[in-house]
Amino acid sequence: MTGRLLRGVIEPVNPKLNVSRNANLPHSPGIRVGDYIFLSGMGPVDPVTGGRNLGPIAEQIRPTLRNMTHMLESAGSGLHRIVKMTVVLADSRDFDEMNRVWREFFPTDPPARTTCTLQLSNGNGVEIECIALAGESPF
Amino acid sequence: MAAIDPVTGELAHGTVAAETQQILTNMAELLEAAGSSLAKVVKVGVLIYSMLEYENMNSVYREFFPVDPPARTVCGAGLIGGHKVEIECVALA
Repeated sequence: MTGRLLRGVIEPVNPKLNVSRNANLPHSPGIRVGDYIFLSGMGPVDPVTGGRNLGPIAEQIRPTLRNMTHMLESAGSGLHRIVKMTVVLADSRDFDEMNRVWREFFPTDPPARTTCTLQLSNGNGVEIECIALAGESPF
Repeated sequence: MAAIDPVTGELAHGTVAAETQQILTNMAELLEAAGSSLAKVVKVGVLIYSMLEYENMNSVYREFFPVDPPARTVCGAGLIGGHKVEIECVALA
């Protein structure tokens, strides 16, 4: 039985990055359960305006990974605690450029990762989700 | 999971809204059979055949998760079997 594990919602400290709340979408930004954090698919949202940054793919991936960092740090975790990532690109030709940006953020021991090409919402060129280890568990 | 009629076991092809309704109804039943429930779902992945149908999926989806909904990712994809929607989840037992 895993009934001892608690399930709680994780929200970004910066309310501009709370996409689901701001757009009234039926998902939470993230869920913590036990020592794990599950983040919803995240895109290139501008942390100042809350709008979308739909420029070149590198300029979409960087803010997406920075937003993911913010979400994880809001929950006492961080990029270095990510276990598994799923990257969805709108165009498979962006794969090499995505990898180039990836190395900036994950210079050593990068997380397990799967990348595929699918249709994305809001004109996003990229959407990234992850499973990460939480910080010290309050539960 | 894809839309299956729980009585006949046949594929229950329909609109995106109808398939979403059927899938989440079946998912709830399956989770409850394992002592869990939709309220214990942590993460959901939704695939729909066209992102133009995003709102048709969402309008039904939100009825099943009225408070503290799970983390979620939605993408458009080519689905096998003629389905319009496929949904997977990770849940606490």
